[in-house]
Amino acid sequence: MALTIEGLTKRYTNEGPFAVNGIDLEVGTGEVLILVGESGCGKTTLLKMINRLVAPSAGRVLMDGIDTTSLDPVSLRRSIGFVFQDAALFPHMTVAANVGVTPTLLGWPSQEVADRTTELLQLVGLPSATFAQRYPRELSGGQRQRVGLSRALAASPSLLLLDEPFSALDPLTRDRLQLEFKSLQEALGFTAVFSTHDIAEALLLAHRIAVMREGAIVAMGTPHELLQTESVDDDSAYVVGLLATPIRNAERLTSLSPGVHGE
Amino acid sequence: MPSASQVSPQAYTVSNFTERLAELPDLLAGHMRLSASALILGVGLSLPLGIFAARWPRLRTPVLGATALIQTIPSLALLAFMVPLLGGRIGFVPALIALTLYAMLPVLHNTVTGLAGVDADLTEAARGVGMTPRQSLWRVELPLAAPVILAGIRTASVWVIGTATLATPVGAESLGNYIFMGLQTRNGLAVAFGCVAASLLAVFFDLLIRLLERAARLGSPKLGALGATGLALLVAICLGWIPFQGVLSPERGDELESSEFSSSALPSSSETSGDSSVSAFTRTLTVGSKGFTEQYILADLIQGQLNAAGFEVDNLPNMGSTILFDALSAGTVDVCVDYTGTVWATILGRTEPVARIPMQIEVASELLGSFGIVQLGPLGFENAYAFAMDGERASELGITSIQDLARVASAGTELTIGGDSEFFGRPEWLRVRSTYGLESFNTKVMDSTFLYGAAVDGQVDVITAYTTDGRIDAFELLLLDDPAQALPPYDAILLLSPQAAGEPRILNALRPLLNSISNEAMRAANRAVDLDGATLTSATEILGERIPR
Repeated sequence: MALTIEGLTKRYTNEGPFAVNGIDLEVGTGEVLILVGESGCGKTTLLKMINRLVAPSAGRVLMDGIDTTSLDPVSLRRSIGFVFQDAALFPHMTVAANVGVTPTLLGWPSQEVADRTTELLQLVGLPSATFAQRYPRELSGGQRQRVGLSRALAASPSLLLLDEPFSALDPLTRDRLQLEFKSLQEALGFTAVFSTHDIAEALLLAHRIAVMREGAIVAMGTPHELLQTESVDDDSAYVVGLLATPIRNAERLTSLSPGVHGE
Repeated sequence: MPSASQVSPQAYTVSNFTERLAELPDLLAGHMRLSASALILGVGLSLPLGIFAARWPRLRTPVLGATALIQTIPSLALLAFMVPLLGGRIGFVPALIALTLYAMLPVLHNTVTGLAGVDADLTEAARGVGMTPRQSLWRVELPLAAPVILAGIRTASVWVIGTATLATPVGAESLGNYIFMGLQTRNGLAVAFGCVAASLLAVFFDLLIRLLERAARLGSPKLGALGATGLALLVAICLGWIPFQGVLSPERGDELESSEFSSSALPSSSETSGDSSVSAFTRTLTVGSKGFTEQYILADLIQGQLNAAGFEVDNLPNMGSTILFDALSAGTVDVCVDYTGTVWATILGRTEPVARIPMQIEVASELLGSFGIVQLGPLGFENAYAFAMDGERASELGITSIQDLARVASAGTELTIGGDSEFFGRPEWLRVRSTYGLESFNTKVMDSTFLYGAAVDGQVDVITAYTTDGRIDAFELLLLDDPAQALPPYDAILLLSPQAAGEPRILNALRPLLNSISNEAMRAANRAVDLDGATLTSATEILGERIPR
C-alpha cells in the first residue's frame, strides 16, 4: 500500500495557526515512516487526517493513487489500523471484544472473528486462554498497548497509523514492544506511519524519518542519511540537536557512573 | 371535661384501618401500575430526547430548561392541572401524564451528562476503528454512560413511586388512598401504612436498578441479567401481566358480603328502586368524594343505595374539590355531594351574600344551565363555617352568639380567634368581622387538626369550626349563633352528572337520601369515625337507618 500526501494542511480555526502546513509525503509499500517532533508540532493531526478522523483544510491523501475523499470515511477507517496513544481500549469490552471490534463491524462470521482474535493475541504475546476474557482495567500498560496493536491489526489492514504508541510505557516495556513491533512489521509487511517524540525510537524502527517542526517537515531521510545532517541553518541545527539527545543522555550517564561507583 | 389527650389515643384505632386493609391488593396494584407505566413512558421519552440533546448542544438548554421548569411545579399541582387540561378526565390517564413528566428530568439530565462525560479519546477511538456515529452511540457511548443514566432512572423511580401517592386526589388508585384517608380521619396507622408501603416499593425498585447500575459499572453480564430479570418480573406484575391479586387476597369476597349495602345482601332492592326490569343502563357508576370523613361516609351511603338498586358502583375517594366538579361535569364521576356555599364561591365565583333558599335555587339553576349538572336536592344538613367556644367558658362569659363576642370584648376582655389558614382569607370572615364589629380581635392561624384542642386548652378563645365536625360534641364546644346570617349557608346537596340524571332508576335510588340527615346525625357519624374509631361501614349503617325505605 503506497501512501501519497499532497499539500496537506490543517487550521482548526480560520484565523488560527497552521497545525499542519502544506505537507508532501510519499510512503512506499511496506515502509515504516516515522514522524518525529515535539508535542504540538502537528504529527497527531497529520496522522488523523490520513484516516479522516480530522478533515483537512487543504490538500489530499492518496492511497495507491486513489483520493481518500472519494471513499466512504467509515470504510476507509475500517481498512486502516490505528493505534492510539494510551491504547484507548473500550473499558466495557473484554480483550477479545476489543481486538475483534473492526472485523465484527465488517460483518465477519463470529467464528472467524474469534479465530483471528486468538491468532493476534498469540502474536503479541498475550495467550488467548489467559487474556481473552479479561477487561482492560485488569491489564498492565504494556499489555493494554499490545491489545491496542492487535485491535489495529485485526482486520489485516495494509496501512497502520500509530500515534505515539509507546510513549506512556515504562522504559523496559517500551524497549520490548519496540522490538516486537519491528518483527511484527517485518513478518506482516504492512505500511506504517508512526509518530513519536523519541528520536532513539525513530532511529531504531524507521525506514525513513520525517522531522516535523511547527506543522512542517524540516528534514527527511533514512536514519543513516539523517545522522549525516550538518548544521547549516536553523532547521538543520534543530535536527542536529535532536539527533544529539540520545548521545548526550549516554554521556551524562557515563559521567555519573564513576561517582556512583566511588561511593 | 374532655381534653385532647383523652380523645386522641382513641382516634388512632385499628378497626377503621383493618376494614381498609382489604383494599391493599387493589391499591398496591394501582400504585405499581401507575408508577411502572410512568417510568417506562418517562424513560422511553427522555432517553431519545437526551441522546438528541447530547448530540446537538443547541437543543440541550431548551430541553433541560423545559423539564426543569416542569419539575419546579409542585407535584400535587401538576397532577391537579392535568384534569382540566384533559377535559375533566380523571383517574389513571391524567396521573400517568403528570408522573411521566415528573420522571423525565432526572433521566434526561443524566442521559445528557452521562453521554457528555464519555471520554473523548474513546469516542474518537470508536470512530477510528470504523464505527458509524450510530454504532459508536450504541456500542460505546451508551454502555459507558449507562451507570449515570441508570442512576437517573433510579432517581426517577423513587420520585415517581413517592409522587404516585399524590395521584389519589385526581382519582387514580394508589397507596396514597391510605395516606389521604388517614390524614382526614386522623388515623395515624393508615398514614404510616401508606407511607411505609410506598417506601418499601421505592426501595425495592431502587435496589433492582442499583443492581443493574453495578452490573453496568463492573461490566458484569451475570449481575445485569439478575437485575434485569427482577425488574422485568416486577414491571410485568405492575402492568398486570402476572396476576397476583388472587394470591394476596383470597378473602375479598367475604369483605363484600359483610357490607350491609351490597346488592346481594339486600333482597328488597327491586322494591326500593321501583323498577325490577332489566335496565338498559348497565354502565358502572362512579361515586366521587372529597378527602374528608363526612364525604367518605356519604359516598358509602350513596354507593349502598345504588347497589341496592342493582348498579355496579366504583368509589373514587379523596378527590380535589374542583377536580371532582370537573369530573362530574365531564361525566367521569356520576354522583357526588357538594355544598351550596362552596359551589357559590369557587365554581360560580360569586361573592355577594345571599340567604339559604335563594342560594339553593340559584346554585341549582346555574349548575344545570352552565354545566348540565343536576342538583337533586339537599341532604338536610349543613357543613358550614361556624364560630365555636369551649362550653364552660362560654357560659362563664355569658356568650351564646357572635354578637355577644363583640359585647364581651368591648367590656375589656381581650379575645383571640383561631382559624385555619384558609378562613381568614375568605370573604365570609371580612363580612362577619364588619357585621359584628370584631376588628379589634386577635387572630391566630393554625392547622384545623389542632384548633379544637386549642379552644379547650384556652390557647385561643374562639375557633372557626365546621358545623358537622364530630369534635364539637366530643370536646363539648358551643356553636355560636349567627343572628345576622353573616356566614353563608353550606347546605349539602346531591349532584348528578348529566348522564346519570337522565336515568330514572338512579334518581329513584337516591331520592330517599334527600332531607334525611340532620346536622346532629352527620356530626354523630363523623364523630364515630374520627374520634371513636368506628369503621366507615358502621357509621354508614347508623346514618342509613334514618333513610326512609
